[in-house]
Amino acid sequence: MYPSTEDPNTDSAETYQNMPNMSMMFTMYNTTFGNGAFAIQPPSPGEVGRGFPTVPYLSLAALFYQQQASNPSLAPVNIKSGNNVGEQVVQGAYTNTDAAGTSRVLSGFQPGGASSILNTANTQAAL
Amino acid sequence: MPKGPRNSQKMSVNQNYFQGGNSVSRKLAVANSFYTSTNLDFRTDPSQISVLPASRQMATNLTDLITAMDQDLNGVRYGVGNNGGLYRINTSNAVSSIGQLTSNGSAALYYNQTTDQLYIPGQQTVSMYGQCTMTNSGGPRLRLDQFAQSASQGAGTIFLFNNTDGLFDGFPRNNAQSFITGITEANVQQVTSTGTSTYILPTTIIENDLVNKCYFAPDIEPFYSIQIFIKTIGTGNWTLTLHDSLNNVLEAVTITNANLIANQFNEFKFATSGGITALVNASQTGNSPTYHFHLTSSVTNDTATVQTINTNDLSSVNFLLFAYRLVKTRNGWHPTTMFTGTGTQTLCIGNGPYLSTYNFGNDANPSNGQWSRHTLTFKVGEEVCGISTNNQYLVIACERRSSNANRNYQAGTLYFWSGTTNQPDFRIDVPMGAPYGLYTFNNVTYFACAGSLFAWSGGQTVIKVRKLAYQNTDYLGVVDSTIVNPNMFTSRYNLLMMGYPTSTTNTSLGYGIWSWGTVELTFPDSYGLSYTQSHGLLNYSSANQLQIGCCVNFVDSMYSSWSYIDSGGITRYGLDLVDNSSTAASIFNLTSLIYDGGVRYKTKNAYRFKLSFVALPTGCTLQPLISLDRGAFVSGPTAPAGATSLIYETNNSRFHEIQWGFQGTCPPGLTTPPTITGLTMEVDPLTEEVELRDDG
Repeated sequence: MYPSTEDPNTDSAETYQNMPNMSMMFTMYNTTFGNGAFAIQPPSPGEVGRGFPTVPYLSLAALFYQQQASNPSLAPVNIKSGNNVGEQVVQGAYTNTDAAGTSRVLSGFQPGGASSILNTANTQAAL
Repeated sequence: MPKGPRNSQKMSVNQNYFQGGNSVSRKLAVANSFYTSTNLDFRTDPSQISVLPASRQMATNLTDLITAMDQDLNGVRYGVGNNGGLYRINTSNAVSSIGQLTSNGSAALYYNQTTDQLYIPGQQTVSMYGQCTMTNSGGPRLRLDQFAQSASQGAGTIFLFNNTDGLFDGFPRNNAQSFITGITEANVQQVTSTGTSTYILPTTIIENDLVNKCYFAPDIEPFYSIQIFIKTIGTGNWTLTLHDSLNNVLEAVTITNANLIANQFNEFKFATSGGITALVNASQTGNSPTYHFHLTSSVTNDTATVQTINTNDLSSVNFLLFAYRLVKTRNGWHPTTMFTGTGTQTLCIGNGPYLSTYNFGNDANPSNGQWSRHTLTFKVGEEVCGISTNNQYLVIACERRSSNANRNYQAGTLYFWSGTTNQPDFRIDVPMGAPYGLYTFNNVTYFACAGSLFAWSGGQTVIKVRKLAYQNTDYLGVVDSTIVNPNMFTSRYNLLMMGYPTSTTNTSLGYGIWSWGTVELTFPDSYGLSYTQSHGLLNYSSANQLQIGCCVNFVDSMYSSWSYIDSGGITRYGLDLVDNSSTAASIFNLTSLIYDGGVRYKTKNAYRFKLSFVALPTGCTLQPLISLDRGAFVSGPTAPAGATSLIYETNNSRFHEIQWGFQGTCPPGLTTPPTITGLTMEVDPLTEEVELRDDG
């Protein structure tokens, strides 16, 4: 994959180092174990090299694609409920009735009642 | 025949592509990298290097360090300083002072185009300035501390404790919950009592019953004051003593009798700096860790009484708990941004260990529902140090600061909130340190932590991108305390620009505006010191106290603020600008990677070094730089104007390692800067010499 430094046409101006990124993008890199494809070119010069050694370029964008594919972030819980300081009041507002008009579900703080399923310590009236 | 490093003839080590940018290693990097560069553009065309525009000082009338900026609809820009100075930058870039906050600034400023107002968080209040674009009626007005302390309207302070259900849902002690606005010191006397009984003040604190204390469950903090409705002032001085659940005295406040007024609320204001910090949302019953206060008189058998619901029962007293609008933070910041994930346009303010939100519902006097101090609660001790948005999330960076600059915490957290839940949706611990300079660019959220650049773009982990600077004090003998302000990262021409650092004790850190990014997908992301500031200082010292306040870009104009102490001991403040009227940076330089041919052990010989460039503009200087075996750089003579190359004879310099580069200057007003196209070193590998021998 890499041109030899014995090639007289080779010097540090080559851009071939971008190529390994293709494979690392999918298989060789993760943020826990790092860059499994790390290599230094030229690996074994056997001579006085005519350029600077290089390491493969790893694109941050490619890494993001890989990461998002393998470790997607959690979807948000799209519910806003419960004790919510200073913002929300649930007071006996939710009553579902069946076709006959009988209450089947009743939730929320019941004014005057002896108990509530909600902790109203920090709720407040509608503002 | 033994194998070894052999070449049959001299060779040239050439570099004429530069897309790799600055490297972390002195030798190892992606292709076509170099070790350092200053004020150079190696991205616009990576086959050459030219000089970037200079940061020029545009204001000398600042009295503090600008830490946040924003722009109104007409293009007028505003800045707020760390000492509370408020500045207006008109469309001609003339800077004028338009006011002074009552406290230090908090690196926060937000312009709302609909209300045409600036929202300016100070340390514990939020001020407003506007209407920004209105020119009639005397022009914009500064409303200092428009959002300040206000009273709790929560059940835990308004309702009596109900022993039947164990909740604060008993009889209300006043009508505070019927207010549709906030209750402030201005309208507090409009709150009416619901009780008609009284409680006579004792002379000593009585703890062993429930009628000589008033316990409550706060929903807002830090406590600013407690206002008590006094029925009869009596003859003694009154003392309110605030206790926690262990009866530890949080503060005792005394008002002399002469300053008491009967039949109204009287304010017992806490003197503790920043107010009394307290746990909110944790106190659910009168028996759990909660707070209570006692009232005592200095006179025995005094006739002093307060208004209560139940006779001789202080727990039913008519009182109001006032809290500061914002928490006084150790880091001094309240990072602020706009977020719409809540379903409404919401001003989000980092409020110490909380996220504060405001829906712009009532700029005159919002209720605690419209302005929620504690919409989100973070870990105890955390303080918001950055705020940004990424996809549907508000991203909140938190750090921990100790009170000892030499013993700081190493802790941080990123919280992600969709705006639809009453807690963060998820979080990422950043145990490496404080996540500073939070900024989202290309929908990637970047931050600086412990001297490195990190990025997050949707995965479970944050990715360490690269080292920003040597923020490591091994062998330096000093404690590192490096801070990056919230508004230090910005984007300019599709590159991430990073003002780094704000302040440090590390004299090794290089100050400036550093860049990260690429000109196109084909080329790698690269890094470099793109803009040094107009004062020319590159490192902190105990004498100069160098700081960068913020770095903010508006299309073609990038501002960066700074402060330092000059040789005369005078603190200088300034605001730099890079725009399309800027001329070339006055200095520039580059150093290559160290070359050893892959055989560090073998002696090589450098014959000559050639710099290739476009005809050098008149007035510029361009000198070669050579360093042998990690010694000091030696410079050669400059190229003359009009020349396109320069040869520097190294005089048969034998080396194991060699590094080269160039440095130069541009005259004032230059708009056609030098362009360097190649650096080439002619090397003899000395093939016939013994390979292994002592360096000496």
